Amino acid sequence: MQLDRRRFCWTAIGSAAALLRGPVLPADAQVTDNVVFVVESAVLLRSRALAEPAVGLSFQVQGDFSEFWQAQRRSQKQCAVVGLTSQGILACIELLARDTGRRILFRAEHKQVKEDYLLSVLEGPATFVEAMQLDNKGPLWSTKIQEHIAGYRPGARFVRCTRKMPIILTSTGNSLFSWVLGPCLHVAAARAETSGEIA
Amino acid sequence: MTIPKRMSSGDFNKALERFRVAVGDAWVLTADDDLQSYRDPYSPVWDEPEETKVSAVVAPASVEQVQQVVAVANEYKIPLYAVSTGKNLGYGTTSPNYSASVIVDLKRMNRIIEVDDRRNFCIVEPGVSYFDLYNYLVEKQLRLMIDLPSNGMGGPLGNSLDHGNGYSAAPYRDHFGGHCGMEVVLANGEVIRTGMGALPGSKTWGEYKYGYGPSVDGLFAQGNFGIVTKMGFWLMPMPDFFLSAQVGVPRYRDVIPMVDELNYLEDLGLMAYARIQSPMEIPRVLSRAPDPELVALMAQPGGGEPDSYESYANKQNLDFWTATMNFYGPETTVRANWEYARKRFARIDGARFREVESATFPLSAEAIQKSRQQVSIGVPNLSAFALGARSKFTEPTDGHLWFSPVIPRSGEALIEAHRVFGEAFKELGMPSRIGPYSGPRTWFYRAFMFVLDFQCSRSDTEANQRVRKAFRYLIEVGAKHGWAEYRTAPMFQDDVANSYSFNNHALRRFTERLKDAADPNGIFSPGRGGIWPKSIREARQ
Repeated sequence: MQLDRRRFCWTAIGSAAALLRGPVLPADAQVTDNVVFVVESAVLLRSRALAEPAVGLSFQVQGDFSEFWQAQRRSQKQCAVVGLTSQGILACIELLARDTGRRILFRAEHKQVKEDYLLSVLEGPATFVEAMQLDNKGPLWSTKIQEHIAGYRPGARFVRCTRKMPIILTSTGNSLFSWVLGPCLHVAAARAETSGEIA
Repeated sequence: MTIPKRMSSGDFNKALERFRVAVGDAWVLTADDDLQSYRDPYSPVWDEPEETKVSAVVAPASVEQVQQVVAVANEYKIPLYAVSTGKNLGYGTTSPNYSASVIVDLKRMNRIIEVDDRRNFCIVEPGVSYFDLYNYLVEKQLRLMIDLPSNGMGGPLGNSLDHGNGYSAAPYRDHFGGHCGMEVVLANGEVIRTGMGALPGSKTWGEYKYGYGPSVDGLFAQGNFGIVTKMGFWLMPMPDFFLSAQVGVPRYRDVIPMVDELNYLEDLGLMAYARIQSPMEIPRVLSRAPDPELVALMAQPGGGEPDSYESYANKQNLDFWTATMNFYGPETTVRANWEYARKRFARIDGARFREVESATFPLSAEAIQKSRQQVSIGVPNLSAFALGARSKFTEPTDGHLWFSPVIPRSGEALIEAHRVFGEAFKELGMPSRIGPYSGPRTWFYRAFMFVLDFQCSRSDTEANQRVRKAFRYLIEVGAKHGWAEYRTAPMFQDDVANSYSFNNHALRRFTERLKDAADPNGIFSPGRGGIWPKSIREARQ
């Protein structure tokens, strides 16, 4: 199966957003109230390709993203943020995570390595990364992913893997990163209850 | 899991438990995914053995908690690396000098203790960011202006302790120079206050910095003698009016009289901060696509010769140099000072003048939005992240390092630096990061800083190794010519400290003696500023 823009957006963001339906957000939480969606490209922001995976409030962060930064720091709510950006913005998001008691729960680098191939390096909880490698043909792919991540628990072991897919969209040559920033404090508390001593 | 050197996992676990008792369970982080965001995102040694690791993060919320953390670290001899907001991107962020250090993240200590807009000062804790302080001033309608660095995520305390700088008038933009008194937790757990803060019941902590006797404040900047928990800063009263105005001159060597005039105007207090640039460098800096002819000129070994740039500028009707000056004050005096400046610069044949932008205070939302120099009018922002090394015209974009030597504040020195560093890049066989179009920074008002950017990669280790080799070579070359860096990332701090070698490194030997006396277990930031505690010095020999 080839990746067009619509499927790329769903693969990169929609599947990452699916991670939030695990224990990151409370079971009764409304995704639209608890997830902020960030994209760097105005073209992608306007694109209908994002209609399916996009959830909650949308932000375009490019150039001066002070408004986004300040809104996130002021927010009393530990909402999750899902994004598709360059490494530069992601590096700043990681700093935001540190300031606001959150952490990057998943990240994937997508780079067009040849004219017609996209290489994705996925980094995240083992169960989720394994699910991302499933054959993504058919409409039930997102359901399959959600089934796989049902077993995800905060603080899970992170793994890295590489996936190669044929594409039919054009790339600027620079990598794009999809990522999920999620609440961390209750994660730390949960871990304190379950973790033992360091080996 | 990373464990501090010469420590068993059992002892480290016991220490972590003590940290948890001190600051609370949620504020001691040890999991790899939590520690990930404490790596230097711009690291030139990403995933290489030289990348220093963090063993844990402890985030105290009060001075008392800092004291408890220090007591535990002393007992177990754990190296600590304190960070305020940890946003000095390009200079290391939260990456420690010594691997397996425990980060003391002071972000929870974020109180604004005092702000006075009649006597014009503030006293803040380490976790207060520039955004926080600005929002406070706006909310309380205080008639003050903050001097800002280009990155609004950082904070006044950490920025000043790393000798950071800004863009407004002389007394304020040297951020450490503009500080006034501090509170510090020492290695033995004692809390001291400096300047007038040492006087119980003092009424002038934020106003008179010397107190009485020797001033020790400098030991805590780019040093490792304590954890600073409060600092006072002088603030600029909010002016009525701001004017950004520019002079342009047509020839390469016109920079000599131009700098002389800028020095005269600034040292008389008639003008604040001048940004000296060449319009030929601006497209690269501002992320605009440069003309291919200019790209070809810049690609010459060593950055090329001035004549070719002069011809290009002449053909394109560009100034060779511009100086964009900030003026603050009542509009009548600002305009009079600008008129006087024009008279002074008129001695340079072909000088051209233009007003760039102006603003009236208090700033309206529209004025802020319209401004292209928000840092110059005291509004923190993050636009720097779309510039320079982060622009789409540089590659790779994973991060950058700043090479920033101090050179004399004269046009002749600038020309000499172009030649010397250009030759160095030729010898290295690398594309030059400097050319006859490169302007200096005037942050510290009695000297120039050069700021050359080197791009770093998270995937190309060979490229990073070339960058590190070049960086170290430039440090050597600069030192041979009497120039050395004012600030650098941890991995180059030994190299830079080594270049300050007068009388067989007498200064470093002196600070080492002080370090051994004040911090006998060497728990505070081993290696910061090139100062290592005795135990590590001996192990390294």
